[in-house]
Amino acid sequence: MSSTNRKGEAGSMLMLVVFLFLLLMIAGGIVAGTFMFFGTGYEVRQLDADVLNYKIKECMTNNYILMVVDSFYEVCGLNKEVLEQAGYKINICEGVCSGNLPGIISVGSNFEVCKFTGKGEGYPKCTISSVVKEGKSYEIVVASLQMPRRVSE
Amino acid sequence: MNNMNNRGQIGDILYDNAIYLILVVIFTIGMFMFVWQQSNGAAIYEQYCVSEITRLINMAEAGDKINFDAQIATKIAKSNKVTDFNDIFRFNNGRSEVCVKLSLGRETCMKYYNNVAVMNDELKLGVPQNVLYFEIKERGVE
Repeated sequence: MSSTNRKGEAGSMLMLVVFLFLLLMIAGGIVAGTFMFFGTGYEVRQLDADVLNYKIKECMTNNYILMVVDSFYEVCGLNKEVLEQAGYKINICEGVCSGNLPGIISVGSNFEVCKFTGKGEGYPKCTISSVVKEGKSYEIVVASLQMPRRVSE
Repeated sequence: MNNMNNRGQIGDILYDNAIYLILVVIFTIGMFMFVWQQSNGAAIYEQYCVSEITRLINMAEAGDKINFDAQIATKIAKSNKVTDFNDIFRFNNGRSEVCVKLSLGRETCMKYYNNVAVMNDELKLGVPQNVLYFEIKERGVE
């Protein structure tokens, strides 16, 4: 008798799991449909990377390279904490940057991801430019991953 | 007698399915709120405003004075019952962060990497449109 009751309870719990699964499936469908109709979000990473790249290029053009290397954040007027925490990658190399090797100035790591741009939405958006200063060529690689984030107050 | 039994059976059925009913109500309210918030443009327009303001700050230099068109933002906030318009745009110089709130309860934030401070921010209403005004100062002299 007791065994039969337990089987009944297990069956009712199983129904709850099935019910929750159904709710999740419906919620997923509604969320996907809503995002398809209204759009997933405002894409800002490419512009963000462009602006940061431009600022660094301007900074290198207007200052001695030695000064820029010595105190990059102060000379270029950039906030170190934000760049490190908000998902930015910067790599400045003499000549051309090769692979993951950090250049004369680098923020973050895994600069190879810039080669995957366009392969998936999760990858950072990159801007690559070069500047000639004091007879040498420098490559500036900037990647941005920062997106607006919705938070509870 | 028969009628009373029926009532008891209905009560039992409702009691047995109470958890399902509660879940369905929570789910329906949650989904309705999500779709409603997306459909009135609050979430996407918050993203737009915060991204554009962040970009303006990143491109600015100390001494710049900026006017940002806030007409549509205030209209959406009003339709979402945000009564105090001073709550719509919030600058946090300590965290180098801009936040925009166009609906109750949640806001959208983004950080700016330019090492400056935002000062004297003010939402000017009806000049002739609603405009967010703020000044860029050097960090440390604010």
